[in-house]
Amino acid sequence: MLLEVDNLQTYFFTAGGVTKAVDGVSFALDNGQSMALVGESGCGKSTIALSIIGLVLYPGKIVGGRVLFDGQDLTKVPPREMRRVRARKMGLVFQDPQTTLNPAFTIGEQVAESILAAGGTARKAAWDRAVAAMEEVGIASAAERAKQYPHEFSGGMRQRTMIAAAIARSPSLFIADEPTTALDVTIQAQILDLIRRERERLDTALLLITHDLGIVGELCETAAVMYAGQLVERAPTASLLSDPLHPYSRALIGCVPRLGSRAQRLPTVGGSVPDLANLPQGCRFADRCPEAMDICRQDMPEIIRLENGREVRCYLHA
Amino acid sequence: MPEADHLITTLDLKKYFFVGSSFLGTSKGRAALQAVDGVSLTIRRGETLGLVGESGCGKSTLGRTLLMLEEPTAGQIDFDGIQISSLKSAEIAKLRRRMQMVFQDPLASLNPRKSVRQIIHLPLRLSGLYDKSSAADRLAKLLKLVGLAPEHAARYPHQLSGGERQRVGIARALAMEPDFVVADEPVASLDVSIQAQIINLLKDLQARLHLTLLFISHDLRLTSYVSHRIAVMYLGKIVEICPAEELFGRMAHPYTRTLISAVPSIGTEVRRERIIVTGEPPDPTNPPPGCRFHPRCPEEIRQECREAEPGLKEIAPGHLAACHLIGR
Repeated sequence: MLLEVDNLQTYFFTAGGVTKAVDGVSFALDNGQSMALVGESGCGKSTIALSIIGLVLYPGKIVGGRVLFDGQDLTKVPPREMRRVRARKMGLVFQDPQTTLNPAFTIGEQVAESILAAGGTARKAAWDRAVAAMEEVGIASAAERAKQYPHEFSGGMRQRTMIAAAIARSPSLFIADEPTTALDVTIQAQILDLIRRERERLDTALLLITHDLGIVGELCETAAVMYAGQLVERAPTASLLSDPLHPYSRALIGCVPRLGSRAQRLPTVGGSVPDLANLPQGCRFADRCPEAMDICRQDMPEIIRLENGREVRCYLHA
Repeated sequence: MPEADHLITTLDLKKYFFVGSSFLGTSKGRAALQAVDGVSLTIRRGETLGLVGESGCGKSTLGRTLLMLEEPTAGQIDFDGIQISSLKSAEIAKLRRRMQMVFQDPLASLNPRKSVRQIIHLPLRLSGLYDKSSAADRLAKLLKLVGLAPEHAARYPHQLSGGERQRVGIARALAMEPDFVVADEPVASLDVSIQAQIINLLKDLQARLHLTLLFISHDLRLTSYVSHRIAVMYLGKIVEICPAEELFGRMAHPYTRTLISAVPSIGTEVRRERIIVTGEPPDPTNPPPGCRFHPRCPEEIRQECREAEPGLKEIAPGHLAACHLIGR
């Protein structure tokens, strides 16, 4: 198994109390597989990514669980060593390349930096590999453009640069956190196509973090829905999108209008996400759930494994 | 002559921004960013016109210009038979009550130091049509209309959720019972489940109050859901305009088809043929000659695409498209 997240708990210790951003999340991803973590803002999906790459910052802390990556528990790896692990084996693409690229360095320097951080490459060779990676992701006249600064690149080109930096070291795991959210739809289509192509070429596993159910279907075999710090459902993407089992997944998928339909009213979810510092004892979705039963408010449902291999955290399927 | 059921009519409307620096600060010698470049359209009374396009295509500028929040560079805007593009700002101020706007980010467009009550009272009191007690009545009605509770009146924007804030933004826009509302990406900064609530609300209010609504969005799903007709914009020009139900079955312009094919399908939706165009939208200070989409067009383009700018032609009743390749 390439990546195994086992009962991960990442909490933030704030003046308002302990915010349980990630509260007992487990999943596994094998070489070459792809999985999406889907959910709305504040559900903890990005905190999972930060926990895996060892960048949970104060006042956040991993308080429980393990992150096994290539057999090594990353929660126990010191920061210096963690930098190496990231540089050698992980490719990271974040939402907004405008903020993840340093405006004071050229694009080429920054792509090369990601190669140098892995160690064992001379500066000149790293630059050449950076330019080659930029060519690979479709940046025309890469040798010239490598000398330019981020502000001289469009949003789509900056995201291509991030992908170039991510693939330059042929990582075994891509982590993409909302990689196309800041982009226009035609540019999004280009970037999704690029990610798909590079993943196939390098046989890299992908952990995609997104709120957009559409792009999940484009990139991932499996999808997991998160709500208030927990996984509530996990299934093959096609099954999840066509037949969601958890009431929250159903709501999330139902409230996206179908293209070209004006007829029906959009179903909505009433209420709001519970306070992560003050969680209810039962199911976290119970207060908003149209099908909640008494037991839902009393006891937290465990994840139930169904015969067809799907997983859901809901008493309706017990 | 504008027809009676047309609330808004524009004729060859242009809005250029002069960018870059010049020694004397004059527009001479500076590049003209052609944000809106020759738009002629009509919006009927009581309809929702969806305006879609990618960032930088000029859709927000067009919306703001229709409200005369931007002064047009050229062309004409008629609002209910009044040529507002030639009015002085004092005269426009009088019409402002009838033309309102809902902004994208309610946190940025609501004053953080004012309570909801103060935010909504301001336009009521400024109009001179309301005194203290009638304004309070109106406030109560408005809160109910947008689905907020009376106790929300005392709260400040930071004490509200994103969805509640946008409800306040809508209440403020509706305070003076406008005829025309421009909603510019009203749900773009909200989570999907909240988006659905606000979209339902906008759609209900539009029908109930018989509003004329310009719904500006980059999101084709949402736009198709709320709009009666949809206009597609590319680089300052409208390239296609048609009834919403025609857009997804009978879209004609290659750009529209590209745009729709780029929307990832969800669940049981039929997977569409994917067209991935190369390149990015060109620089609006220096648009390509001929059809502005020709450098990225997935079709086999002709000589005239490179040379002559296509005009909007009716290809079916109420369905216009600007493309040389259609009907050949």
